[in-house]
Amino acid sequence: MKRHFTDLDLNRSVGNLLRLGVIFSVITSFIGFIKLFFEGVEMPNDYTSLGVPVGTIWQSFFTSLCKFEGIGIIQLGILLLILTPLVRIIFALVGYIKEKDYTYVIISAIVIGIMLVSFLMGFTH
Amino acid sequence: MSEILILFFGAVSAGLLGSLTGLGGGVVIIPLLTLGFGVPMHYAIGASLISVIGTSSGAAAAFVKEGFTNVRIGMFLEIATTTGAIIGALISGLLNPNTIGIIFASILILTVILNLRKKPDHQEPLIEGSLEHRLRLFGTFPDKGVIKAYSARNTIPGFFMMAFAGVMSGLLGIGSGALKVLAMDNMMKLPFKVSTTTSNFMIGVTAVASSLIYFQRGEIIPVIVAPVLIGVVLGSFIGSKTLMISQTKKLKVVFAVVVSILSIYMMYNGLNHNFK
Repeated sequence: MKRHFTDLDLNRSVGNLLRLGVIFSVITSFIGFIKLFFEGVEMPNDYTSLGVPVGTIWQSFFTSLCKFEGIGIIQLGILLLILTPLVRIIFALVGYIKEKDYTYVIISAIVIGIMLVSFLMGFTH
Repeated sequence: MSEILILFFGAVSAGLLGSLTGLGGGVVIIPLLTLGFGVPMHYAIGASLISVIGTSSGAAAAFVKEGFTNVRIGMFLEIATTTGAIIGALISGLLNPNTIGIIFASILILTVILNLRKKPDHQEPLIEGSLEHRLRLFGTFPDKGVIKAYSARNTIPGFFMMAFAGVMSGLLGIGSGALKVLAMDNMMKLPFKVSTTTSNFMIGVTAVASSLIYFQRGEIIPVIVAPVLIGVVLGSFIGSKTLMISQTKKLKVVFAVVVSILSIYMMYNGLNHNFK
């Protein structure tokens, strides 16, 4: 007998995905933070000096990550966390396609589209 | 080193309070970072947004499995909240930190008032052929072993209220759970359990929409975010384990007092141009 993909199955996998995403992200940030301490980074007295150079944020992230620096690892953790809800929407989209609920295929596609707009908008800053 | 520990334990208590009261950690994190540590407003908002994603996803994981969350209603309203969040993040980039502080204080007071009011618990039947029927904004939830059916109402005003909640989330770096519950309880007349858990489910996606802009603007600072994120997630985890034993009514009063004091303090500092 063929088992149908139900809302409950979808809910379970979404729940697991969200939990895993948070756990991975927190662990990664923690490792990055510990690494930062071994690099001898102190908390600054003046937080205004902490600004990340605008425009080169992705390059500086990749360079830092390749060098296995604390900052890059924390940023990876942050990006993992940001990605979790996005993957959740994609999961839902796939679920709606399987259920042939085309209204919600469109609705989830719109939400993904808005996320893309947000990403590109930040990019031009 | 001691600064980090204070920041970390501050974040733990923010997460704890946030999950016990259902208001989210941002309400405490922003005043702590800006006024306690002298962190520039926009960096504080960035850090708070990230911790909001963490707590929302963590809590949503549990609720989605229990079957209270209405994923369809959540997905539909996310169109409103994410659009609002982008607008909020863009406005925030234009505003002076002191103006943001004053708006923050006003939303805090509103949150206290909304949170103290007795919440209505609705359970509306589905109307055939309505907008809610076509969009499938209805469902069932388990209540003491019985499966109960409900449907949404007033979807259009609810949608606009959610867009406003999204703007505030993107502008102030909070989950604006109180505004979301207002839209879903008072306007859309959803059952309390459904509105609360669905709101939590949406907060994460809403925060992601604006955090993508903050991240690329260079306003998400790893050194600040890491202790805040870890602390808030840990605090809300402890909170979710103690929720069953604690008396929520007393807790609400305590939180109302704390948030009112924070609000007055934020307002005072905003008017005196003390934010960086």
